[in-house]
Amino acid sequence: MKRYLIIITILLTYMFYLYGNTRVPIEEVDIIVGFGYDVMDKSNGQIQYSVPFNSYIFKPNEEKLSVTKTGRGKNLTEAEQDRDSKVERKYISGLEMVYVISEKYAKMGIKDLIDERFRNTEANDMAYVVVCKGNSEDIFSFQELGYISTSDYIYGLMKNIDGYNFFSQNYKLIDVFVRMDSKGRQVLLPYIEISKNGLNLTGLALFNKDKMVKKIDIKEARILNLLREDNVKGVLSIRKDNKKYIDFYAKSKNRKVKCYKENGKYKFDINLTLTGEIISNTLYEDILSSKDVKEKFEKDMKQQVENMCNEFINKMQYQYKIDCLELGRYGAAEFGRLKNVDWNEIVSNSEIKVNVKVMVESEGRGDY
Amino acid sequence: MNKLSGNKITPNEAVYILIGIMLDLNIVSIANALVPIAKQTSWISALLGGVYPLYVGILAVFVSRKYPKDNILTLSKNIFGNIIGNILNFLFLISLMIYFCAGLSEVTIISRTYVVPFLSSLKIYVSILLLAAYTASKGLKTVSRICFFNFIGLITLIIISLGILRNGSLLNVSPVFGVSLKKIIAASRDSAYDYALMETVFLIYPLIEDSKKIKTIVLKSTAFIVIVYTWITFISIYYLGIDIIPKTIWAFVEVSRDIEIKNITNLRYLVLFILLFISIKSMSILYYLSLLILDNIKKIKNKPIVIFLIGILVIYVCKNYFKTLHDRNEILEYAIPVITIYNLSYVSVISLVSLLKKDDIVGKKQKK
Amino acid sequence: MEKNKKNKVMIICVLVAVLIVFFLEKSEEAPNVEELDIAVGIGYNITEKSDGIYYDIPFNVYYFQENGKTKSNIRQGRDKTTGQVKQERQRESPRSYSLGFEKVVLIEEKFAKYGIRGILDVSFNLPKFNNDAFVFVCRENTNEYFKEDIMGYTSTSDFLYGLIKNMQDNWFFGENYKYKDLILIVDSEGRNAVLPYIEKEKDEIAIKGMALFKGDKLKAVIDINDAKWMNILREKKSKGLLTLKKNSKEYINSYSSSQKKVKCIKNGEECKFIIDLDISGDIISNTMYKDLFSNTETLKNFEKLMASEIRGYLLDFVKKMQTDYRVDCLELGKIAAAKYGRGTGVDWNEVVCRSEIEINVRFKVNSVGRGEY
Repeated sequence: MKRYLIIITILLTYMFYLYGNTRVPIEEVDIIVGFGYDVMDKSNGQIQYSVPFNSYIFKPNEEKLSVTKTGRGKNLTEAEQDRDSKVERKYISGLEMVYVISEKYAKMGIKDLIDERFRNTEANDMAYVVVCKGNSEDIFSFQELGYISTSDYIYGLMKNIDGYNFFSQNYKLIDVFVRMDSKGRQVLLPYIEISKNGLNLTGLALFNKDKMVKKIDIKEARILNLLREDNVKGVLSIRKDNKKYIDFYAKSKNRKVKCYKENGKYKFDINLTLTGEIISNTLYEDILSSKDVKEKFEKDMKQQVENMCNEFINKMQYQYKIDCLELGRYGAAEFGRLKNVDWNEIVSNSEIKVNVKVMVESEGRGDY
Repeated sequence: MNKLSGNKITPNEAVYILIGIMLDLNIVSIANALVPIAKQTSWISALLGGVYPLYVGILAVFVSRKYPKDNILTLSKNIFGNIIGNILNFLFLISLMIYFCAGLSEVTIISRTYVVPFLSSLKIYVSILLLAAYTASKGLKTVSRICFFNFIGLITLIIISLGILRNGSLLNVSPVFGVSLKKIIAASRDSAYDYALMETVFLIYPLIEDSKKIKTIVLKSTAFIVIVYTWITFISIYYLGIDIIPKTIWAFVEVSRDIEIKNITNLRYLVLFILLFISIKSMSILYYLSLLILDNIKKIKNKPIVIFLIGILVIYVCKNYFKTLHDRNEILEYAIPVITIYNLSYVSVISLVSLLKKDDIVGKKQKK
Repeated sequence: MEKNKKNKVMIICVLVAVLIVFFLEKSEEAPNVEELDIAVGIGYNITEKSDGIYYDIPFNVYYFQENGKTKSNIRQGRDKTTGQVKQERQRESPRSYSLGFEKVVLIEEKFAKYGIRGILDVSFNLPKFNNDAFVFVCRENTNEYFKEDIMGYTSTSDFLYGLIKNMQDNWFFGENYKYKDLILIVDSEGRNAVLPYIEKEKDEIAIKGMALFKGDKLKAVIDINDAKWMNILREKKSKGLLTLKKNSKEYINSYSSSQKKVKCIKNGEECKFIIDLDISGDIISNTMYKDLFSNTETLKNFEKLMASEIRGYLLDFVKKMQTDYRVDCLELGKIAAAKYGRGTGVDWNEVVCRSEIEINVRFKVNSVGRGEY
């Protein structure tokens, strides 16, 4: 028994040794940390694909640097080949942190690039995918103080995205894989742009199938997220005037969607529970000691959130006409995944009701 | 250290236990309860509130002289018969359980606010109850040992709080007699919750080795507790002033935050650790006493299961009725007067009846 | 044997229950320390727009460079409520923030005039907020200060932190300019907060005076000389430099420490305050008297002259306070309230501005240095 074990171990080690990567010193290696995807109009009416990438270079004195290089071509494959030819050192992929897709590219459709990534066994499924304004090349060449590369910065931005604004963490490559062709599901990606304060998250890019349809700003994005995601956090406020306002740091819990048919029409109920703490309050007096005041606040907040949600749903149904809340998913689960049913249209024409429950869980350490 | 042997406790240990039972986590909020009524003279109210444990203690002294071997549960059964006696005892148990839940919920809220906001309440409940259950299952001797450490912690707390003397001002406490006597007395009535549970001396006096010393035990523990409460109230007003205390939830924690002692940077965590310890000790004692009462009502055969069930019950109640500070305060607002009046009359009636009856009720029963 | 088995079953039950609670129950993760931005300074500004007031709250954060050096950067956030600002700020922050290391809090003058209650509320609610941060009022937008790269300091916050410590030794400044003091003072009866006022002049940041608050609003800004006299009158114990000057060549500098005692007497309806000051000083430079240390007479004369000079300045300041600023920045109301009762609805600012304030100064030379040159 023991002998076999030893033999097997030796064999395995040998195989690993044989087929593993050849070892190179770190100074001779590039690590690609971010991929970008742009398209550009050329003067002759054709379009040109350009694929920049952001990589680390290790210097002998242990310093880390990041450089951006770009490959160009008539289509994605060509561009990628061009990119590969520009890498002069051995590079390690699979460590990429972000994919940055330019808005224009996204509007043309991201199917080809997702397809390529899906085939590539070395692609990092856990890398974040974001849509940017302008060209991704500009984003990569933007230098943020204190960060080695923009990719690190965007990665950090995405990693912390779920603390506020009701964002979730479902913006990874794998989430795009899962959502793009699923019945009743829609891709939704964060939208970043360079503003005067640096690189910012400014909203969400709504997709229909593989094409980006619309960018919504951060205020709408908050409500969209609140309606779409479960277990997310963000600040909700009631503001009466400049000085009188209350801020409520809410966590959404137990989001439940019910779908049923009434008189041949689809109806959706979205139930949300918001629990959380009051982080600043100058509007309600005695909220610490009096339960009535607390209940009044909970009622007011419920009213306000429901109004906000209804407003957004209206807009979604009449303007965007996409089921960005993924309600179709619940409909499909209830009534079967029928063929040729366009959930975008059904959702846009059905009745959607939002019920919100607000609960104040903690009061902080006092109320000044 | 001497071995934990024998069931009886020494008089000194009894003092620690009595201090432990009365002194709960409410030391941090006693000023908040009194200041709205008695203003800067609240510390006098805290002092006067000591009459309550003193009265109960003196009753206990007389009763214990006549019936040194029977606790109040047996007495009540002997006076009112088995059924009514048991019901009364059970009600007494319920009052203990309410203090139990209130204490557990308060420590959870405080630790979630100041130390571990990322832990869920349930986790904190379970961790604290596990410790308390283990201590309680080991018997009164172990409980008294934890009470002794609690006593040391308390002394440390008071020594630490001396550090704030430099920063506050006597002006905050004056004018000393600026508030009418009526208000002072009204506020001292409100301190009943803080002084509650002296009644449990009736449960433990038969377990004390030298039952003749009960008088000194009662006097010592009452005096100590009065001094602690008065000091904490005084120092809170001395530092924060009466206008700021109502804005806080736990005044003493705020005081301890601002204490500056050279070379100790994270004093706040030391204070919070002591507070946590105080609370765990209270939970252990209440756990133990509940077992004691249940055992008296119906002989417990399988101790672990009962301990487990009590734990589940307490967690259930805490999770559903004591979850937020508002819920807790609302319940206590109604419950405390009822509990206090019930406990007082329960103790007084039983002691008076047993003292006034000339013949030995216990002895008579046994002869039959 | 039977009992043992039962106990074992029990223990397993409890263990399973605990495991269920700890692994199935969802809860937030505490972030790693490396993934946090350390905020060393917080600024508060407001901008008025057509649809209301916007709060603008930048954080001064440390970042670590590849070469091992630490520098600081600003993270902006702007919205209509302080809670929303937090949310906005996170949109451009690749890390979450760790509070509790703030050294300074800067408040824009405009914001201070508007009222600082919002600041107190939001930070009072945060258990992690560092109570020991010094609070300053500044003239321009706080970003102007945080942007400044000061030689020898990692950030402006570090620089200001050092600055205030120095002021306590030379300009009779007190210690009560911390955030925790602000919380204690703003709503207390008979008390008014004062905060150091900083300005930026030709890329240099300096304390140029003091900001007097009434309640939570900035009422007046006084210059550094007035601030000196106010501090002497306000602080229980303070130290700093006093000068007696005849002309530009003949003067005496004395490094003095002052002790204050206040009495309050009620005369019918009127209050009368008596402030006794005991100032003792070391002479550190003297070009005025030749025989100051050999002749007791001269010394006595000097002491008298100094006392009356100081008294004159102090009386001037008190007059200004009573007529111009109309704030009880000396906290005399606190003393009266402690003596004559609280919560009576008296506006102590009014009372103090109306009542008579008597100042007695005693000046004494402590030591004479090591001689005269």
